Amino acid sequence: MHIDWWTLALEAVNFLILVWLLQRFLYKPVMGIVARRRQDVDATFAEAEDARREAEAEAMTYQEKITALDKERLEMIRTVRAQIEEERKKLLAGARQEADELLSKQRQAIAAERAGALAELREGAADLAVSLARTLLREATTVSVAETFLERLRQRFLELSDAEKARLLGPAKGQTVLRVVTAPALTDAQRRRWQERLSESIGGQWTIEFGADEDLVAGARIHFPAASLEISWGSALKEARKELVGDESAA
Amino acid sequence: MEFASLSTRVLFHIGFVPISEAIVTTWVIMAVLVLGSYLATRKLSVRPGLGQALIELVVTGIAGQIEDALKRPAAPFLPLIATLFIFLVVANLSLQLPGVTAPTARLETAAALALIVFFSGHVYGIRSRGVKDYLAYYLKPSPLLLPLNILSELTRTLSLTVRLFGNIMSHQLIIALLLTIAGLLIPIPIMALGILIGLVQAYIFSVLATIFLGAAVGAFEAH
Repeated sequence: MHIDWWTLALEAVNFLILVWLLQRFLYKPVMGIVARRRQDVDATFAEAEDARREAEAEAMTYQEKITALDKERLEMIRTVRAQIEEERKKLLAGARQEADELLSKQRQAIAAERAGALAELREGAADLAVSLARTLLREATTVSVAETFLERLRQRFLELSDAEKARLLGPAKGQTVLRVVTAPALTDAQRRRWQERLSESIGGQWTIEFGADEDLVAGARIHFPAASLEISWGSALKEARKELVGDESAA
Repeated sequence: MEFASLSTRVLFHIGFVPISEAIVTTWVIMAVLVLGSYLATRKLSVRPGLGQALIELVVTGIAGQIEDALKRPAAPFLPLIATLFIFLVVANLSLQLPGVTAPTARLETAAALALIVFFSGHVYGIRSRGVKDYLAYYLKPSPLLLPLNILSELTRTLSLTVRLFGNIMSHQLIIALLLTIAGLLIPIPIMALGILIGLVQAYIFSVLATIFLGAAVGAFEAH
C-alpha cells in the first residue's frame, strides 16, 4: 500500500472547490432565504407588536376617555343633585311659606269666624236679655208709669236752653202739631190733663196728638217739628243692648 | 498480492498529472452536488415547497448542530462542516452503486479531508484568537505538555483519516468478498448495513471536525 500524493492533493483541492461551490450555490442562497423569512417574520412580529402597542395606546386613550366621561358624569350628577336639592329647598320653603300663609289665613278666618260667632252669640244673648227685660217690664208697667216718664220729659224740655228749644221747635211756619207717644197708652183723662200741661210748658198754640208705641216698653216721646225727645225703658234697653254688644266685642 | 482496493487505479493523465478513479468519482459527486444545489436553489421562495423545505431542513439542521456544539454562530463554520457532511454522505453511499468505488474508501481522500480539517483548525484558531494567543494555547495547561499537544493534533488527524478510510474500505472489501464467495443476493443485508455505516461515519467525521475547530477557536474553554 502506498499513498498517491497526486490523488491526495487533487482530492484536497476538489474538496476546497466543492466548499466554495456549495457556499455559492447552496448555503448562501438557503441561508439568505431563511434570513429573509426570519426578517419577514420579525417584521410581521414587529408589525404585530406595533399594532399591539397601538391597540394598547388606543385602549388607554379609550380608558382615559371613559374615565373622563365617568368624571364628567359624576360631576353632572353632582350638579344636578345640587340643583335638585336647591330646587327642593326652594319648593319646600315656598310650600312652607304657603302653608304658613294658609295657616295664618285659616287662623285669621277661624278667629274672625269665632269673633263673628261670639258677636252673634252676644247679640243673641243681648236680644234675649232685652226681650226678657222688655216682657217683664211690660208686665210690670202701669199707666201711671207713662205719666212719670212724660213728666220727666217735660222737665228735661224745661231744662233746655232757649236755643236748644228753638232748634227742637223749628221755624214753626204754620206747623203747630206735636205728637206725644207713650207706652202704655194714656187714658183720655190723662191725655186732657197732659195737653194742658204740655201746652203751658212749651208755650204757644200747639195741637197735641197722643199715640202709643209698644217699642217704648215704658216711657214717652214727644215729636217736635224738627226733632224729638224721648225717655223710655225701650231706649234704655236699646242702649243697654248696644252697650252690652259693644262692650263684649271690645272685651 | 496487493489488494485491488488499496492500490491507486489511474484512469488517465492530464499532462503529467495522473487522474485516479477516486478523483473521477469525486468530480462526478461534485458535479451532482453542485448541479443539484444550483437547480434546487434557483427559485427559492419565502413560502417553501417540499423540496426547498427539505434542503432548508438539511442546511439549517447542520447549522443548528454546529451552534449547539460550539455555542456560537454557525455561519463561519457552516461551509466547511456542512460540505464535509454532505460530501461524505454522498461519497460513502456511492459504493452502493454497482461498479463504483467510494472515494472515501481511498486513503488519499480520507487523508485529504483530515488534513483540510487539520489546517482549517489552525486558520480558524488564528483568525479567532490571533497568532500569539493561538500558539499559547499549545502551552496550556503547562509548557511541558507542548509535545503532547502537538502529538495530539497529529494523532487526531491520523485517527480521522484511518477511521473513515478503515470503515468504508473494509465495508467495501466485505461486499466484494461476499460477492465473490456467496453470489449475488447474499451481500444485500451487508449493503444495507453499509448505508448505516456510511451515514454514521459521515456524522462522526463531521462532529469530530466541528469539535476540533471548536477547540481551535476556544469554544470549549471556560471564560
